[in-house]
Amino acid sequence: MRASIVMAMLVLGLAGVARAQAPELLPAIAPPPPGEAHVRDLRPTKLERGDKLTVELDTGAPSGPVIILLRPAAVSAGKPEALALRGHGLGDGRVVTDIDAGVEARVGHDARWSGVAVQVTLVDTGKGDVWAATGGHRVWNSLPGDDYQLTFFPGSLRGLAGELAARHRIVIAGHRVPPTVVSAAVMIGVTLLILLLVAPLTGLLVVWERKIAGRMQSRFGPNRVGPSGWLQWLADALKLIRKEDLIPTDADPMLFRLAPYLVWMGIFATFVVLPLSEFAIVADLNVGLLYITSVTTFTVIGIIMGGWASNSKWSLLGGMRSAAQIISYELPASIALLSVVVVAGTLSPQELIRAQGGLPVDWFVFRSPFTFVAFVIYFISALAEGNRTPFDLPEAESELVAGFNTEYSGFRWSIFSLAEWTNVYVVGAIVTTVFLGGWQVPFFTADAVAASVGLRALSLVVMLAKVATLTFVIIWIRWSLPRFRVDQMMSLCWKWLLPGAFVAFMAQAAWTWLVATRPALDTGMRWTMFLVAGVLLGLFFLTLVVRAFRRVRLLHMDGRQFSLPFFERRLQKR
Amino acid sequence: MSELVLVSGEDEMILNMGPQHPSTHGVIRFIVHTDGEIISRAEPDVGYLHRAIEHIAEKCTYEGFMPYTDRVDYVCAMTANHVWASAVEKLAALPVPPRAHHLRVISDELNRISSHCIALGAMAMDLGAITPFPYALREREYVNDLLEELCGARLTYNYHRIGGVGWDMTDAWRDKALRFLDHFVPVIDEFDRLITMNEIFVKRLANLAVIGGEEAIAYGLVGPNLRAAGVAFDLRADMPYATYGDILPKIGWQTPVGSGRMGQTGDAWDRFWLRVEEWRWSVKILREALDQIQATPRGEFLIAPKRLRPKGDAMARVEAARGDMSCYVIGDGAPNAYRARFRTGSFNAMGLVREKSRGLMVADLVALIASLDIVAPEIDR
Amino acid sequence: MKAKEIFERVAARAGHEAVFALDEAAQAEPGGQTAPEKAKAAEAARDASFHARPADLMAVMGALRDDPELRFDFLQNLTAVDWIKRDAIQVVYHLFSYVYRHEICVRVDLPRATPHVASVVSLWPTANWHEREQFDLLGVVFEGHPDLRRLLMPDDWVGHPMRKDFHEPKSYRGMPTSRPSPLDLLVTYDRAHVAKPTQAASPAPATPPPSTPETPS
Repeated sequence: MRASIVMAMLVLGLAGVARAQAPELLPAIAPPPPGEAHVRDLRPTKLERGDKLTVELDTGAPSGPVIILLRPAAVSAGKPEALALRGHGLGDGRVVTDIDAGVEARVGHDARWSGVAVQVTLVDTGKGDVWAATGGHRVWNSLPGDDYQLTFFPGSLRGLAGELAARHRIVIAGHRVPPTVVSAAVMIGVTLLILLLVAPLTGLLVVWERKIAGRMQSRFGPNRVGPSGWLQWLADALKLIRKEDLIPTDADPMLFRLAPYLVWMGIFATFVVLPLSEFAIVADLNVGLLYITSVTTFTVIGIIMGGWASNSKWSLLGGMRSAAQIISYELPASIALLSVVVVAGTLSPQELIRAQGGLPVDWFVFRSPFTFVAFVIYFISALAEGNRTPFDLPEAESELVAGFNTEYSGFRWSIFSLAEWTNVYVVGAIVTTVFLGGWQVPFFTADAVAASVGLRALSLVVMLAKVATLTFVIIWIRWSLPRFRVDQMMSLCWKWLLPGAFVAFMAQAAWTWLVATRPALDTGMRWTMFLVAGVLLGLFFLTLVVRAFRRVRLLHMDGRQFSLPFFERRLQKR
Repeated sequence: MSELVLVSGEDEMILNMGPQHPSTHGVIRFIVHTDGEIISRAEPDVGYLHRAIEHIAEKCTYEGFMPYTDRVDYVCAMTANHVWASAVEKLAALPVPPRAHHLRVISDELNRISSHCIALGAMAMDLGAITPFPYALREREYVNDLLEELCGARLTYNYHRIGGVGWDMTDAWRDKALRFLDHFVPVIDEFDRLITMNEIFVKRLANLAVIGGEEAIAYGLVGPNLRAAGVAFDLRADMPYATYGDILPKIGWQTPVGSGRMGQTGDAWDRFWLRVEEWRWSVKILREALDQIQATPRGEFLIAPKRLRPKGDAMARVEAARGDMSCYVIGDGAPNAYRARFRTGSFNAMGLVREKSRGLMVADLVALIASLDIVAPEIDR
Repeated sequence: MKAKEIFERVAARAGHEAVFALDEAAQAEPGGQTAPEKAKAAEAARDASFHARPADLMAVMGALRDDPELRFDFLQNLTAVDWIKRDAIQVVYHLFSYVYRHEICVRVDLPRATPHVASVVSLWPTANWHEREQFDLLGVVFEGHPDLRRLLMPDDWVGHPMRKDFHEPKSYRGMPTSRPSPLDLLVTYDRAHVAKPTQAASPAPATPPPSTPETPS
């Protein structure tokens, strides 16, 4: 019961966050039906940069974010075919925009905005950037098939919700449900759907990890439940839900119950800004990376809470260790990410991806040696933040039983575990977004990807493939390496990673400044890094792996028992 | 259970690494006084696995006591069998056929390999590297299959007898054993690449709990712990028993000694590395023993004593996996012993833990216990 | 070094009254070609022992450890034996020298009523736990031991289990120390599905119970 209340709070919180970028909402006026409508007035008619353009419409106007398309009557050389400006519908029949504000979107490209758009024709007076505007042109909702499609597909959940709310009137007992409520309801519904999808995906990730671990240890992983064991997560989930709800007598009842959900919330809330493909992102916040870094701090609170509330020395020690670890490693992680932000100039995930390219040479990881160092530092710090080996001190089985987890069992424990395994995916997604080119398809530009359905689907596959590879690497590291001691881990963070991250950041900033006017140098460095750090290092690593495989003379493992029958068979061959 | 008066200092926390603990060293309990992460005192509390085996020896006949000796150290039971058989044979001046001695050596060394599999795998697992444990266990499975075919059991073998061994080996078994040895040698190298030389592993263990040669001798450390401390003494080479005197010169035996390669001589990494070296030497000993046994007449593996009622006392020592295990048996003319005393390597090592653990961190305490290869049955018997 | 020489050296250092009764049982026998026979012969030569007086134990042990020709630096084994018929408890020390690779065995006889002897912890720290164990199991009190308390048995255990006159208490902390044999608790069912407990458990007379007629189930 409490779980569902908490979940509802979380979802609402997500929905609220997803609307974080929305400007203030005024009472909604019914949006105009699609088709023609008229511009009643347009001021000023001579537009210069810096002017504020106000358009009045006579058949109802949108409220909320609006695109104003300025299309010149004649296209001259050097001038764009049309300009799309971010505007603002005031809800009383007017839309306003600053002529110079955000002239960044080209027609048919800006996929982040959806909703209604106003087209205003401009006449070029031939005096530089001065246009005259004439009214009388269309207001329309973006729908497929229009001349200027701003969105083929809603670029974000918020846009989709807004679009649905704008398009469909819902009347209850004679009163129209306000579009804001409708869009919020849509967002909650879709979020719940996503959560329902994410949980089995995490489960599959769990089974995949156990199978990888098994294979690395010369055994099978789970292979009983479901086809080849792939439903093991379901069996585990059902079992854990059915387990007895144990709370230690002296544990703090409220905090003990709350702790797992805080940890879980810290991880799951990052899904809001994780892009899955060119089109699939819940909310492309323009402060995306900052949001991720700040929201993952909830895990620290949850862990300390869990360790303290368990009223057990083991849990306390584990909670303290974990808190110290996560807080320490936040610093190099954030600063490493900043090194990349310096290059791209934005914190928004989709923008970061767009600033990269499809081919590895265009990825941020190979942009310069400093971003490469930042990549390594971020990867290590993210492992530490997620309590993964070699940094899994807080859960060190052999020492502290299970650290802050010790007193948890059943469903509550599964929430902790779910959070930890989901974090593996999140780390992979963040690293892919920031360093590895995200969903960018090789040999295609981002615009081309946005324009084609097939390529959009391919971008989803590309993104998932990259995240899966990183997840595999994280799992590989976990099952190969021993763990650090707490003082070694701390000294690694404070003596090596943090200074390294600072140096990388400042050097990258200097480098960015240096190559801002020297694109050839930039390209040269990119290719050098790609060849050295990417190709050569990759080949070297591959040869190590291949050599290791060749050197090991494992007895033939083909699913049969490998003891006596094998010996018998081999002897008989002699 | 222990009713120690637990008096702690001002800011000390008393942790109980209780008899149930995920570290796989058996039921041992430590009462750890810590100041944050640093241990000020780690008091071992043993006796949870005390089964009064020495008392039982006074009730069983000499021959009938053999299965109980398996339980003295169930991880390396063959050597416990061997030490009891040697002690009683010395007590009663019994002859043992040479083939039986070879078989004892072979079974001892195979068991040493599998015991080190547990020791090294568990130590790596205690430090967080979970993968080497199944690797080592997989090799142990091969050894268990071999020994099961030889004597019918996988853990508590009851293979040696007073006057020989229980069963003979076949040529097919010999081929299997040789085939296993061919397989095993590259696996040791793989294990080295996986964990012994791993950077993080070395950093955890180097310079940890350095026990120098003199301190080791004073505290009674034996076996790999002593050799890692720099003392070149191996019972098999320096006081040879069974057929080691014939085998070791043929394989160019050099007692492996800790070298302080990654830190100081006698640190935890040296103790780990020394057991890996013992793996390699065991393989060589086994090959030679399997070769030399061909010269002994088949079928003569036991001279069962009739009416075993010796008088006197005898002390026998064998090099078990955990060091020099000795058995002191006193007979007074009855069919059962008057007193049997087993002195094991883990017992001595445990006496060292309280001194050595001062100033370590909790994580290091686990590493220390694992590096000394302490198993509970040897301590409590 | 041979046992006799060791004995004489110790006697010279610690006093001739301190040590007595040298037993050079099983001198080395020559012969034997194979390693096992040689090993056996070698072993037989080393099981020599001598007695020491309890009062002079520290002097004897000190001599054994510190004498430059003896250098017994390893206390290999420490055993206490309950010779109830002689009314004595004998503590047996097996010593070994890593320097010279020789062994010796020292015996100390103690009166069974007050088995007090000096502790050798100050000479060989390894004796700490060995002496605790012999105290625990046989009741030998080692004077000078820093921490003489029970090791294997629970701290509140009464009695010394390895003594020959030890009888197990009927219960420990309320838990009975014996239980009925599973065979006594065995219940068999005859063909009429009537339960018949074994005769040992049931208070029935020694005659077997009458057989019940078979009834269809």
